[in-house]
Amino acid sequence: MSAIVRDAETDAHGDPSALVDTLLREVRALSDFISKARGEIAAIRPNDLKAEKLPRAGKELEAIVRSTEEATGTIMDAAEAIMGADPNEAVMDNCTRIIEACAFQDLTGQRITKVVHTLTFIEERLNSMNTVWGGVLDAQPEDKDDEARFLNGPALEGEGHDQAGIDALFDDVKPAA
Amino acid sequence: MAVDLSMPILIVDDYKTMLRIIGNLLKQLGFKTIDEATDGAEALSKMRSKSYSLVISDWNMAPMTGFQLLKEVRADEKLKETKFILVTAESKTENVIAAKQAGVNNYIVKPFNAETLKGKLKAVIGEF
Repeated sequence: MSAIVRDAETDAHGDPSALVDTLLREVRALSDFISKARGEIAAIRPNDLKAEKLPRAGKELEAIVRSTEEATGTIMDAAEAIMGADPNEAVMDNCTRIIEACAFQDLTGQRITKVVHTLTFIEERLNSMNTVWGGVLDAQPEDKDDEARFLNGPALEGEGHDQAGIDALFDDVKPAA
Repeated sequence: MAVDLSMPILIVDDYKTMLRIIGNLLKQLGFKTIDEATDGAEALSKMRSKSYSLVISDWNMAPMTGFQLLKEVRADEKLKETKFILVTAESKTENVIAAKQAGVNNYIVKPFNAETLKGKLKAVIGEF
C-alpha cells in the first residue's frame, strides 16, 4: 500500500488533485483484484469440498481399505486350501507367491492412510479460510448434467442395492414405450 | 431351443482384469466366440462390423459409457435387437430404472460370481 502511495506522489509532481486521481485509480484496481480473487476462491467451492467432497473422499478411501482387506483374505484362504489339498512343489511355490503378493494390502493401506491425513489437513485449512472470509465463499451446488448423475461408482455400505435388490427393482420397472 | 454356444459375444469394460474375468467365466460356461472392447465407442465400432448375439458391458467408461452404448444400440435399426447386459458397480435405484427404460435385458452388480453371471445369461438367452 505504501508503495502505491509513493508511486502516486511521484506521478502527481506535487499536484494534489492528480495525486487523488492516481490513488483512486489504484484503489479501484486493488478492489477489482480482491473481487476477482474472491471469485476464484469461490469457484473452488470450499464449502462444497468441506461439507461433501472431502468427507466423501475419506469414506471412499476407507471402503477401499476394507474391500482390499476382504478380497485379500479370500485370496489367501483359497491359496492355503489349495496348498492343503495338493502339496506338490510347484503348487506350494506358486501358492506361496500368491500369499506373498497379498502384502500389497498392507502397503496400499498405509499409503491410503497417508492420503486420508492429507485430506484432513486440507479440510482444516478450508475451515480456517472460510472463517477468515466470513462465509462469503458459499457457492451454489455443482450442477450435474443428466447422465453424470449416474456415474457414482461402487456404493458405500447402506447405499445402492445388492443383486437381490437390483433383481426386484429390475422386475418392477417397465421399459420405456 | 438350446442356446448355440458359438454365438458371438462382445464384452465391454475399460478394466482389462474384468475383461479377463468375464471372458474366462464365459469360456468355462462353454461359450466359444468372445470378443472384447475397452469402451463404448470401440464396442459400437465392432458391433457395426460384426453381428453379436449378446453384449455384456460395464457402465462407467470413457469417452462413451455403457449406458450411452446401450442407447446407441437401441436406437440403431440394425443393432437394436442385440441382447444387452450391464455389469456394473453402479447400484443406485435411478441407474437400474434408467437402464431398464433404455432397454437393457439384465443388470448385474459388481462384484458378482460365476453363478450370478450364469443365471442372468440364462434369463436373457435361454437355457444352456
